[in-house]
Amino acid sequence: METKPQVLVLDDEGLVGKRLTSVLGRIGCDVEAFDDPQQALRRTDEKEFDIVVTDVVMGDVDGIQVLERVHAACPRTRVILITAYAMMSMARRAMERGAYDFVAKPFRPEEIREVVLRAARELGFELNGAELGEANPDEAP
Amino acid sequence: MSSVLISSRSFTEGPEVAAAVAEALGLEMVGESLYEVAEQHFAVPADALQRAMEQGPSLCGMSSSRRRRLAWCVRATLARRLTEADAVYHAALCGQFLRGIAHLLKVRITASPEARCKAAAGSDVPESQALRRVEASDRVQNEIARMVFGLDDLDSDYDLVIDLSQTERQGAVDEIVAAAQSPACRPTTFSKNQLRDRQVAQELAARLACDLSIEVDVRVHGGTAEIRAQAPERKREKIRARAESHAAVLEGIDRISVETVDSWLNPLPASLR
Repeated sequence: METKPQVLVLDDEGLVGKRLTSVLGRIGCDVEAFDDPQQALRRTDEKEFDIVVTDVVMGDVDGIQVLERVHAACPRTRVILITAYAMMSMARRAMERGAYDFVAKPFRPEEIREVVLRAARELGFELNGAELGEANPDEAP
Repeated sequence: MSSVLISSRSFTEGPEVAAAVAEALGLEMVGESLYEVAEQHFAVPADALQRAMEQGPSLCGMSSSRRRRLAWCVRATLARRLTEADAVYHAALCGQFLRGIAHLLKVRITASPEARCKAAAGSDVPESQALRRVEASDRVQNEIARMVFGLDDLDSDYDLVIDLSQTERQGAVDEIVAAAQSPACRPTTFSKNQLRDRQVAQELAARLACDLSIEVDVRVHGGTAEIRAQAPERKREKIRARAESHAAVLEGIDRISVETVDSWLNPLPASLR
C-alpha cells in the first residue's frame, strides 16, 4: 500500500480539479486531476486509486458510470460524487450504487477535505487534516 | 442510518408500528412530546400547537393564518430535533415535513376501509357510523394539509406506503427497518447540509411568524436567507430588522433578502418544506 492516499479527481470544469488538487495535496494526498472522463477512465484501468472524486453530469459519461466502472475494477475505492444539479433522487441513486458520499456544488473546500479525510482514515491512512489542511476561503470552486 | 417519519391513517396500528420501528432501530420515538419541546423553545402553548396540526377547521376555531404560524414552530422544532440525532417521528402529515431530504425516510401506514371501519367501530360507535368516522378523519387531515402546507397529503409524498390489511405488523416493521438501513437512505454531505439549511430557515420563519404575526416563507441556501412575507411594502424594513436580529443568534445565515407580497389575491406559494 502507498503511504499517501491516491486520489483521482474528475470534473469537466478544469478549475475544480486544479483547486481540489491543491486542497487535497495539502492534507497529504497524491492527486491526479482530469477534465476528460475518457482519459480518467483509462487511468483508472492502469492504476488503483484509493479515492475518486467525480462530477456527475459530464457530457457523454456521467459520474454514476464512473462509479460503476471504478467499483467493478476495485470495490474498495471510495467514490465521492459532486454535482451542481443535486437532487434527492440523484443522491439516493448514487448511494444505492455504492457511492461513499454525495456533495452538492458549490461546496467549501473544507467539505471535500473532510469527506476525503474520513474516507482515507477508513482505508487505514493516517492523515491529520487539522494540521495540514487549513482551509483557504478564496478557494471555493 | 436515517431518521424515519411515519404517518398513520386513523384507526390503523400505525402508532404500534412506529414504536416497534424505533425499538428495532434503537432510536428515540418522538410524537406528541415534540409539542412540549416547541412550547419551551417558542413560548407557545403546546395544546395550541397540537390543535394547529391536528384539529380540523371550524367556524369558531383557529384561523388558517394562525395555524400556519404555529405550524412553523412545530416544523422548526422537528427539524432541529432531527439535526441533533436520528429519531423516529410519528405524527400526521409527515409526508409534508422536510421534503426532498434523502436520509429522511417517509412512511405512511394505512389499512383497507373495512379494517379501519372495524377498528373505528368500538364499544361506543355502531358499525353504521364507523365509516363516517373514518371518512371524517381523512377529510380533516386533508383540510389541515391544505391549510398548513398548501397541498394535499398524497401517498406519492411518501417513500413507503404500507397497507396493514396486506401485511402483518412485524412484516411492516421489518420492511421499514430495511429501508431505513439501506444505502439509499444513508446521510450524505448534501442531505445533511439540506437539513441544516432547512432547520435554520424554519427556525427563522417561526420566530418571524410569532414575533410579527405575519405569513412568511423562508429559504436558506449557502448562507443567504430569502424571506417572503405577506405584508405591505412599507413594512419591509421592519421585517428585515427583525430578521437580522433573529438571525444574529442563528448559525448559518450571513445575508438576508426580504420580499413582501402585498396582496391577498397573490398569496405566498406553497413553501419549500
